[in-house]
Amino acid sequence: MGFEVKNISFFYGKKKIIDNLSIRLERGRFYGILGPNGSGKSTFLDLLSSHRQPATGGVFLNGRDLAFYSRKQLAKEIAVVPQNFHINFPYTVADIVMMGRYPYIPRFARPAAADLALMEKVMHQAEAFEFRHRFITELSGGERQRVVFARALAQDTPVLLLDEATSNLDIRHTMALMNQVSEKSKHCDGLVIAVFQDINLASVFCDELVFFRNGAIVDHGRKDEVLNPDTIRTVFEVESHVEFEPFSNARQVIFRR
Amino acid sequence: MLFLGFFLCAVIIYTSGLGYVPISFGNVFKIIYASLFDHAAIVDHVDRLWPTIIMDVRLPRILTAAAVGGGLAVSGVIFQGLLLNPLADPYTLGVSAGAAFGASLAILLNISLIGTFSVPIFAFLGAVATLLLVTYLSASSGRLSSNNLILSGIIVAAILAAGISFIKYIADEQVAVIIFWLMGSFASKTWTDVALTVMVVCLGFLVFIYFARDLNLLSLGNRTASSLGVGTQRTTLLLLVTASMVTAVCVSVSGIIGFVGLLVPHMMRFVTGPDHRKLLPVSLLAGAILLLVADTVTRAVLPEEIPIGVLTALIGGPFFCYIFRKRQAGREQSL
Repeated sequence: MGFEVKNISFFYGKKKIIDNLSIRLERGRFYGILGPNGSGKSTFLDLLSSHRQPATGGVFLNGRDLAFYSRKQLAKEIAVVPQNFHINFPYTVADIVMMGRYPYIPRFARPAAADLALMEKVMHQAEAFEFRHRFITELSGGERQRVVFARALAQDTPVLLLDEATSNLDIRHTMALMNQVSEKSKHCDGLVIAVFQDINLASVFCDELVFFRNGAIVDHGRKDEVLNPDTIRTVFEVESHVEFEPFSNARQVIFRR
Repeated sequence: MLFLGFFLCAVIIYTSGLGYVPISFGNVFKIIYASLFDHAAIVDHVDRLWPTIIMDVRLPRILTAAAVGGGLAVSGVIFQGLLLNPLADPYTLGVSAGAAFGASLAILLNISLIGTFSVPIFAFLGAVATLLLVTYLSASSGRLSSNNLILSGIIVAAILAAGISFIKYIADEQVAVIIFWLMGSFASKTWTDVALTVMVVCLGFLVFIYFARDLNLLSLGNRTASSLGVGTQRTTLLLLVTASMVTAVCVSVSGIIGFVGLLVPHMMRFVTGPDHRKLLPVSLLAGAILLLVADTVTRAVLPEEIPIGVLTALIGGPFFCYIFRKRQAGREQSL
């Protein structure tokens, strides 16, 4: 169960962004996607969430082509935490989190008690509860990111896609968010796919790493197998030193000037 | 909301009494009641002329003004939500420029094929043609993006504005008619106008309220909306076309009336918050009341009738500046 991506390609105009890419992404695991800027990571997430459709090939979720899911069904399967999040309208934080329940609540119905309870729970999880009555337009970037994370949790989906979801967070909130996400993949049989800039953070939390370059996968596998100086050199064109670091209990990459 | 509804009814009845021949609130109520339920007996004691004044002269104008006000206000809500831009209004996509161009052309060429309706019909055609052109221009990159829509709208409107200037330049006698039409008026509206606008505005409103929740998501951006279960392309297009149609009908009936579509959604957002499920109905009623009051001012209070478009902009503009400034000040204090 999970995603099966078969030979997909995607173009912006004539420029090829994703080049004949195939991969299996299994439930119960946390995948980290790494690669240079413009290597197609975010587009790949767009294709997984069916926000964009591949020009060739297909994306299958639990054995069924994404094209055959309705939007509403997909919203109950996949939650997305996008990279940037601009809002011009003064919704309250609670309003925004409640939108995560829209796929479950009929069009003209009020939210049920269970919806409200879940909403409160996820706001605590994302540490957004204390400012739930404030306007989203008046929050800092990091606070806003936590609200969007809470909304994704409120969607209560088996699959969670994160596009640099910790880019605006301080280290404590980054740790808290990553711990929750990795819990979800371990204990709730969830599938988490996250785009990272920070290789070492990815190495601490992920089970498997996927390296992108020019819209294709350069290397993919368990983090202990693929995270080495050779991969870093081919993907990022940077010299590095990789060693197991006992405190973080993971391989860490060290750079020098 | 109920309060606003009652208030609108009261304003309709009250304003029907105002004018060259003042008629009391009670008598207006009796006259309307009598003609609604065919109960001629209760108006025996009033002046013979009054029922005609109310039913044939004032009410059609008043109801048209209310319907147009409501229509422009809800279209404004839709455009602001869809284009992710609180500064958008029903005319952002060039709909008004298209209507104005169509109307000017009809007046210039003195087209009267379809009788008195030829100017409104040309205005409507102009608005729809502009809408098609603008969506075609902005969709050529494959997706409807709000930036593309706004930009195409501005470009097309600029071209049409030049076209209108040119028409004014080559028109000699009709130039006054064109200018007056462009400034908007509810004078001499008939029950046909009422039926048309009320029907279109109501239909549009039903569509809007059905998609109000999706609009909440769309106002957060396409990616968010699609990940939360909205078919973005289809819903956006449907709402855009419906809102433009409502605007086009309003403009073709009344001419160009600025600021209602911008001002009312803003004012109401202070009251209800941005949730479209509340914002839409409240804006509908508030827009109706506002435009009706403005029209009554030009009709009954001022010594000489001035174009309503001028009045709404003259009063609405400064008022908007005031509340905008006040809100900014409030925000600085809270920080």
